[in-house]
Amino acid sequence: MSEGKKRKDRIGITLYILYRLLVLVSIVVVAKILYLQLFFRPNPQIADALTPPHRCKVLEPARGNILDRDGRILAISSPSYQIYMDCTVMKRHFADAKDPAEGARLEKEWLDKARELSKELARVFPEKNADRYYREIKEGRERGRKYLMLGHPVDKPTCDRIRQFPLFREGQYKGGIIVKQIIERKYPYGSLARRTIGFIRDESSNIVNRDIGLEGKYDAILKGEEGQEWLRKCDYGLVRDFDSTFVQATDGQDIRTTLDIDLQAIADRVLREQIEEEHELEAACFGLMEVKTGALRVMVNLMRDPTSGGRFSEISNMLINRRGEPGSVFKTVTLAALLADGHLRTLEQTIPTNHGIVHGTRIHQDDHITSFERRNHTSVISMYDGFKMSSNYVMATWAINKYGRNPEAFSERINSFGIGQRFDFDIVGLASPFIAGPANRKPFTTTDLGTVAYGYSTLFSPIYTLMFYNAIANKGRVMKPYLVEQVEKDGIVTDRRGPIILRDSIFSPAVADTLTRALRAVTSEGTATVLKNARCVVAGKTGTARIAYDDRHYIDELGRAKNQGSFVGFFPADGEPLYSVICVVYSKLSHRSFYGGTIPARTVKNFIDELERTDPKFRTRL
Amino acid sequence: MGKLARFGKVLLNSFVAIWRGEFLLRLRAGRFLAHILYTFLLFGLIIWVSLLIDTSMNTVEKNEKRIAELRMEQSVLKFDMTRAEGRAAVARRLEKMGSPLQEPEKNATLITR
Repeated sequence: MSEGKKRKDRIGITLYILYRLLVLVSIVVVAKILYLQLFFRPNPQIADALTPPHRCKVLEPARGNILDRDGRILAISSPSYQIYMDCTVMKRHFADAKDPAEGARLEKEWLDKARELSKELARVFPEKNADRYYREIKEGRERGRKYLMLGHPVDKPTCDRIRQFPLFREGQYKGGIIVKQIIERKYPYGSLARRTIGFIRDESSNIVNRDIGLEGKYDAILKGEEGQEWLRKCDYGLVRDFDSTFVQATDGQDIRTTLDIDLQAIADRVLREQIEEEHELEAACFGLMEVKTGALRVMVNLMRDPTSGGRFSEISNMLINRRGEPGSVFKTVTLAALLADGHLRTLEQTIPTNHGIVHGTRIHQDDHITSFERRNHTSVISMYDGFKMSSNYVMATWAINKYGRNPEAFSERINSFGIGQRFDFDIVGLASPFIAGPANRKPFTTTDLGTVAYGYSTLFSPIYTLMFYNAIANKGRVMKPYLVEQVEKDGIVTDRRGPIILRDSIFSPAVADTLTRALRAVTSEGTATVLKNARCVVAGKTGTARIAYDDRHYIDELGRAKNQGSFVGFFPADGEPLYSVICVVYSKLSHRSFYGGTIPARTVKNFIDELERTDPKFRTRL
Repeated sequence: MGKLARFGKVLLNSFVAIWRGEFLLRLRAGRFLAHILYTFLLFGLIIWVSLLIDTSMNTVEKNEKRIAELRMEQSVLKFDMTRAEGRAAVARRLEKMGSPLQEPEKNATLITR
């Protein structure tokens, strides 16, 4: 056998032995696999820990924005960052150091950095001083607190700055910083139209009323739909598992409202200027509506907030939910009914003055009439004069004379104006109107008819009154007040809302013109002469009503009453009206009377003046 | 010979063949060498593609996180911009900067033809 062949055999034998060894190992491996697969029962905790995790992640949709008419953002979801601190980091490490002296030195060094951190924190969150922060961190370290909240939520730049503070710049495991992102709903214009824009209630909140404002009513559209994805672990970390279901989150849509935030700001300011110093006022509201469309451009609702020291805040949407007897602003409805039914041909038609006493009723004597008799040495009064001075006697007498035998006709006519019926509004809380009549009040007396004629025995929220006056400006067409212009997705309109005609013609244009003439008389020579010098011609009516403070009584034992002063009208009244407007103030129990011709009319005048000064579009349209 | 005995004999022969290193030769697997190599190539490809998918999915995850961060930053900037452009905010800023510019107190003179 040659030398080469021997070597070959040696190699072959070596390989053969290696092969057999591998076969033996593979037999052991196969046996072990069979054992593991068939007989081995692992400890469940270890099995869980070693099983690659598959977890379902909920994909949160981005909430849609609320925009004003020009697309400016009124509500947006934006992140804030809350800083927490794990006070215990490195504590065990230092304590377990091989050299105790070295451990103590490191611990002292850590606390020194914490002191520096406290100084920086006190600058960002000045509600506590540096010593207090340091004490909290030190005590937290001693007591093992792993989640010490520091300050309040901050924005991204501040959060980034805090990350660079001493100690925190060493990261979570050495410095103990924990940052939690919170998605907050933010309102760039602060308190402007807050009640109309609304709120999002936390699911954990105890407050039952979640449908506040547009945020509440359109929550389903704004919120979007959650998605879902399954994640699996790979060498790089958690990634989406393509073998499992994946549902993409659908972001919420944007709501474009009819509100004009510039006009809202003006209205808010002029109203506050008028009411802030009036300590006996408890609330006020202001609404502006576009005549042609019914789009609400302004909704200001200010009420004294007991939680903020009695300052005026947007805490209740009184324009839609504060139902009360409207008072004299309702006289226009009576006048419209008389004109529409042909009972009154011209405003110059007269009735006897009768010293302001409506015979056969329990209606109080009208002092305006006795003054009128004295001033003018006359015993008759025209509707024009009676209306502009807001005489209860004139309106009650006309209503009783013309509808006394058939009060149903009066009710039917008023109902035909559409103000007695509730409509579907864009936010929750619209109060239902009530007008006393033979159908809902039995017996319906002559006194009842007379009081309805001048605005008592009826219940309206201001928006109904505004809607009716808007119809006068619109020559008899009743437009539904609305707040949502359209729903948008990434700037593309998905649902267009827009104007809705509630009644096409509740009276003829001639009646509308006569009513406008009467309303202009009020502002030029009647109870709202403060508007005579407004920048444009205003037509409107004042109203001063007493509010039943406990549903029955108007005056308490001290002779105090709650008053409601209103002005409602439209402008410009000498051409094509652009806006209808209402301003209502509500007093506390007081000896003072708050007339519609004072604060509300002044507010409207100031609003118009400022609108004309600052809005070139308005001037051009004038 | 029963079926079980035959199966046992086949199993024993197979084991002996494996032990001697003749199993594949007896099966004449050499004829299918190309197929075997191709199958192993496919196995390799599957593993390689899976790794590529993992890498891509990791990139997707990272990008999604980044996009979410950018969206957040965008919403913050939008909020800040909207807040800054309000008339009152502009007026406050102008005053702070010492500018005499204010909202007009009188109407502009309208020049008509």
